[in-house]
Amino acid sequence: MAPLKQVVSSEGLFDMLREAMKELPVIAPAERKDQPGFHHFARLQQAEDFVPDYVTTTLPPKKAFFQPSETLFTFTTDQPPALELVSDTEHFVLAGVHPCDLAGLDALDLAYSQPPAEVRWPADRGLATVVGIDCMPDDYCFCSSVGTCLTRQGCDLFLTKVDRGYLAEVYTPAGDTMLAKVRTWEPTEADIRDAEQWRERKVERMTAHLEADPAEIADLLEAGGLAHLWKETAERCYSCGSCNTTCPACFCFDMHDEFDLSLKTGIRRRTWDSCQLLEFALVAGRHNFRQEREQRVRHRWHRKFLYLYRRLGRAYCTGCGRCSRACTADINLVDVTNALIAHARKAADHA
Amino acid sequence: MPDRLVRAPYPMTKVFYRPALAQVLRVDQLTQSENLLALRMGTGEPLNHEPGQFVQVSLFGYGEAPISICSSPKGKEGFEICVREVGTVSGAIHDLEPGDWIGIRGPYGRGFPVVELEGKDVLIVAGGIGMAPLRSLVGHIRDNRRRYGRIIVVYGAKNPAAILFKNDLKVWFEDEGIELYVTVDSPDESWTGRSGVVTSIIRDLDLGSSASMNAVVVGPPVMYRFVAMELFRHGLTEDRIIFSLERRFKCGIGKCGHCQVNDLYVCRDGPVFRYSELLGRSEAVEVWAPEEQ
Amino acid sequence: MEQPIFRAVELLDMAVEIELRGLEFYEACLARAEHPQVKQALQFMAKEEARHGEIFTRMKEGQVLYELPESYPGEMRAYLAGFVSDKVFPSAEDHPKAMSLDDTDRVIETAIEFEKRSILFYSAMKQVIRPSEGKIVEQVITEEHSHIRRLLALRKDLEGSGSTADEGRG
Repeated sequence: MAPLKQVVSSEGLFDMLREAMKELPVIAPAERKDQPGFHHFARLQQAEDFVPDYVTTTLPPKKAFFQPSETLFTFTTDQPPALELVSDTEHFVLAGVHPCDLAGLDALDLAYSQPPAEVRWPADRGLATVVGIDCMPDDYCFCSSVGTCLTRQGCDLFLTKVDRGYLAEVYTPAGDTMLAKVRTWEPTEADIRDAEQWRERKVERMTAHLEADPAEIADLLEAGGLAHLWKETAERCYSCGSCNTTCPACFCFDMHDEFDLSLKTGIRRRTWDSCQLLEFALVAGRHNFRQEREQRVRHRWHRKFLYLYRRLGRAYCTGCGRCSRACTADINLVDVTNALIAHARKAADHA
Repeated sequence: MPDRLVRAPYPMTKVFYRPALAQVLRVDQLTQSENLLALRMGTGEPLNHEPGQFVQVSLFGYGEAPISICSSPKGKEGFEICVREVGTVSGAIHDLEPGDWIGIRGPYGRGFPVVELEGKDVLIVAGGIGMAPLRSLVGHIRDNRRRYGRIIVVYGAKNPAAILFKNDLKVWFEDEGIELYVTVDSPDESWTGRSGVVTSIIRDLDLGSSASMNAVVVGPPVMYRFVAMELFRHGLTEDRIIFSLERRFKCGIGKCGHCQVNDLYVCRDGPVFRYSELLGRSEAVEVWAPEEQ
Repeated sequence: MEQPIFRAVELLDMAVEIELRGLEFYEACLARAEHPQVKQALQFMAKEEARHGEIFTRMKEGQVLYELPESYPGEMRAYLAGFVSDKVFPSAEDHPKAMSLDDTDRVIETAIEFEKRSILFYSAMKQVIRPSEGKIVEQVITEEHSHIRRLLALRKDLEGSGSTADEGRG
């Protein structure tokens, strides 16, 4: 069913955030004070700080639900120990989420809910009202290649820039409530056309493309024979893990305990982790099942485009381009993937 | 109207990563580096595990580690784990005394296919600490002896001092329903039993022409392929060879990614696998090689 | 069972292990041998085994060395040795039976028999080595073939020189 559509003015959008901020914290893209011109998802101090046409943030908005480092529970050293869950209970609004990042949240919803499901992520997700917003690509974006251009999953309200403001698509009662606080208009044909043209322009402007769709990429990874490409990529890779840390669809983590200074209480912490780090696949006796960097590089591509694609029915890549922007060695996911595709097709032609 | 801004809550399921509490009932030193701990859940409830499953054991302040359950599900009171002192958590576990409290999550994972094995002959091959999870299987089989065919247990330890569960071995040795072979890789003067790696025993076994023989193998990484080669010689096929893998799980529920063997999460899809499931996957029991050119 | 299970590097380890067993076997025979020419032939065999061991060790160079963790030092070798123990040469317990090699013809015949067994073993192993590393298995087999040729040449030499082996038989 098509969502209810309303038009809100540009000022109205800020009013809507202002209204929401009276009730709840609002996390949205704002300009970084330390890096002008760059944006990050942060709790807004004032609605004016929201930047609707922000460039992709370094860290994806998944951090609003799963912080890079978070406390799972506290413990005491009493006998028996007293354990207390630490969980967020505060509802909030997450605004200004691009379709690729909505796809990232959706991917994590799916991954964390696989049985046996964890409660933490979905519980935190339940606390948020999510407002999406459409965007224009930069040189790294390739969402049209992985089918996340039009993602609306998991959002309550979605905004597209039109001539006289924003076309708002209402997906849930929570989205409706937010929008109901400001003046809106019925969309005209021109508004609908504006929004459609925005989406067309977005695809037209996309310069980065994968040369195959996710289904074909999964097949060619499965077929293998790409060892030299993994090796070449590994020779450039520093194993810094930035690609994983910035990825909206990565969900691996580590857990460890910390005592406080009294040594009488402490916390169990969970932190984002990266399969590109050397220690990731260590087992007892210091053995490492992915000792070689090329194994880890291969694992990253296989996990994103093959293992999870087969298991959960979607590539764990949202086309946001963050990994390529963040890569300290300038390894571009699109370039490497296209090299894999080209090699596999050439090999198939020769066969 | 603040609550209308709030989405309907996602359905609450199980895992919040907060362990349940359990108390140490007994600690038995099995060898210089391995202890057997009997535990009881703080709630007094049974653990309800399957042989081959594991629990995440928490020592608060030290962390959490996956440890296989080594008692039969039918245990009278609580359950048992066998812990080798290798890291921070296992080191702290070794300092535990009866009455101490620890955290337990689980049981997790896919255990041995005890139901599918019913009516069949089972060759159980244990190397080193691999005897721990297999003890739960042997216990289960002994508790339900009539449901299983011929049972052979081959157990190899590094040396006589490293032999685990000596009391159990004595009982199994007396048990007419179990053919037990114990071997050590490096015998000392006192050792009068067999010596050599487990494969030397398997080679000499008379498995008859039994087409219903299945092998369940748990041991150090080096052991698996050589045992498999001997089993192939006896006519067993990959689908009748069952392994249990050891990895360093963090979450235990297929989320954290640490135990991934290609597309498989050892913690959730295993730790028990048929060899047929592992063949063709790298990072499981064989030596890594770059994929075929 | 035709799935890659072992790496070529591991096959080379097995080959080295087999050559070592050969060396032990011939040295055990040598300790019993009395006739000078039999001794000479056995010494040749032993030297050949040692030389081959070195060749196979050298072939390991340049191969990716990546090993499974051992639960104690020497574990991998114990399994490798156990695996090849009776594949080519008789195991050490059976040495006394094999030590009564009393003429050069029999020594050479036996040695050729062992080489043939080793070729059979390596050919069978090819089924469980990664196809991309099949070349290395071929090299090992070729090496064993050349070994047989050297043994045949040795036999011819001894025949030509009016072998004293016949005397030994008396």
